Amino acid sequence: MDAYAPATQDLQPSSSSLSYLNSQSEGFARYGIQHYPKKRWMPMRLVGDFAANPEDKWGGRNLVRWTEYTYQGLRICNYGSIFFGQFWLTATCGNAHRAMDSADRWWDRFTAPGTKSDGIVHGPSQIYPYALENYVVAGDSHVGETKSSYTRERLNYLLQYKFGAARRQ
Amino acid sequence: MKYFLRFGLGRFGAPATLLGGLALMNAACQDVTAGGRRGPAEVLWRTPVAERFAGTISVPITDGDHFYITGTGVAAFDRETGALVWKSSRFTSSIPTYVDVQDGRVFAAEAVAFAFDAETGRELWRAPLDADASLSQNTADEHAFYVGTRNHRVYALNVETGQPLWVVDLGPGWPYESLVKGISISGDTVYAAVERAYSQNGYLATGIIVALDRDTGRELWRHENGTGQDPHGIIGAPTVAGRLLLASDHRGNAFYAVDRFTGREVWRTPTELGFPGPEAPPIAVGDVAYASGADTYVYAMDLQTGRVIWKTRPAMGSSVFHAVCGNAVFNNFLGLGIVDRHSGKLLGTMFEGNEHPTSGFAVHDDRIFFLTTEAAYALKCP
Repeated sequence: MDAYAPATQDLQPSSSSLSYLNSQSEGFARYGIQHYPKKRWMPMRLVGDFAANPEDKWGGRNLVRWTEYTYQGLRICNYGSIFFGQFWLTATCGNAHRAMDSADRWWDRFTAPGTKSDGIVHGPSQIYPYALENYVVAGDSHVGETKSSYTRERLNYLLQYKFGAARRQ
Repeated sequence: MKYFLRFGLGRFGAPATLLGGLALMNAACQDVTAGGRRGPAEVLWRTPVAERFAGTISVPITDGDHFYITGTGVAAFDRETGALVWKSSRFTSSIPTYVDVQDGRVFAAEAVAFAFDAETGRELWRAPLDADASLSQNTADEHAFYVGTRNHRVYALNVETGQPLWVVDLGPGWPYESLVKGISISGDTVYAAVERAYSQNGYLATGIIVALDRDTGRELWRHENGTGQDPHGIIGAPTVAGRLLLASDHRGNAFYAVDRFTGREVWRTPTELGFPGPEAPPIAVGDVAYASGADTYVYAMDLQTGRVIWKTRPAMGSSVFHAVCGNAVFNNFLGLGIVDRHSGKLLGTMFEGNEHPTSGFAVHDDRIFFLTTEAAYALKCP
């Protein structure tokens, strides 16, 4: 099987292929940009960033925000409805927000508990080997990283301040 | 009424009330970038900016009356209302990162140095330079406008006419492009910061501070923060603080201070390893130097020794600009971090949404000014 799909061996951490690739020196100044998004509602961020640009209406940032609003609304509903005697509503809203919590925790446990990761690429794996500097952004998920406005902003900054490229009118 | 009490309030009123609460909560949680005034610092005004003025990675300045930014030209905004007061003529090629104001004149430089009237924006003079100067933090005093170019030359231009008073090459014979990063002035001395490249791609470099006589351009001393065998550098104009010059070695991951009379390094404070170093020089307030770094921290250091008094991480984002205003240290990490400058306690963050800060800061009294991807802002400092 491996003969037909050598990547299964090559992409293993510390494989000879990866070690060779990372050991090659590059004769130019290089900078890395790493994204460390908040882990809360990561599946929603991934879905949004996959479907649209992170900053767009249906992008990951807005989906996370709306998910958080919904969650907080359900919590208010959960506890507030007690005062109205609407116990069926208490149970429904409570179950709903607990289910959201569970789904969020499940994704974290399933992918990379305790580390800074969006579940696609782990934090340390984002480090550009031998880069002069690796910048970090409290930004978007890996699927949205290349089309993120944060990445664009950091690239502009690096070009201007590190590579000395004057910004044209 | 009876029907309403029985069914409206009893059966449907509860969900309706809860939904109403949810709507109110949503409104309360609205992103401050939408123009709201919530957060650790009150938004005083917001003025949308267009063309190349929005989103420029620049450092604005204020003289107390106006707030100046660069884009296709210089634009001035009223400090109190944020109204656009004037927009200057266009620059010739690139957008200057820095702008300075002195005695009723606004100065900026790219391939050409410009002076504008601070009240009207009328162009007073323009002076050609040997190379682009848009990346240097150029500075003016009552005597001259001091400009540093990417050909490691420093110009002193007469503030009245733009005629060169003197021109100095900081590195005649240097084989690689070496940019002047900033110039500061104190008394009769001009301090120029230049990043000397020791390799064609700039991988190996050092940061050099050169002290020059203000009247003649004669070199008094120079301090180099490396040997050229490993990455070092300097960014922005050194901050004058008593006997010291404060600077940032952004590739050597350290803040450092140099005695401005002898050129001797007094202290060096490393930032976190594994991250880029500081991106702007520290700011001195009293006996404390405040700074932020691309290592995501905001620092307070003892001015005389460089000892770290506190350091705080507002967010997991590299900070590239900072300012002290009121009781707070502000930093730009593609969001706005606000830290109590006495305790180091994080007061909060703002502008973490789609509209995020792009510029450095200008401070006057209790107000701080900056640009975002869409607008110019004034905030009241906590």
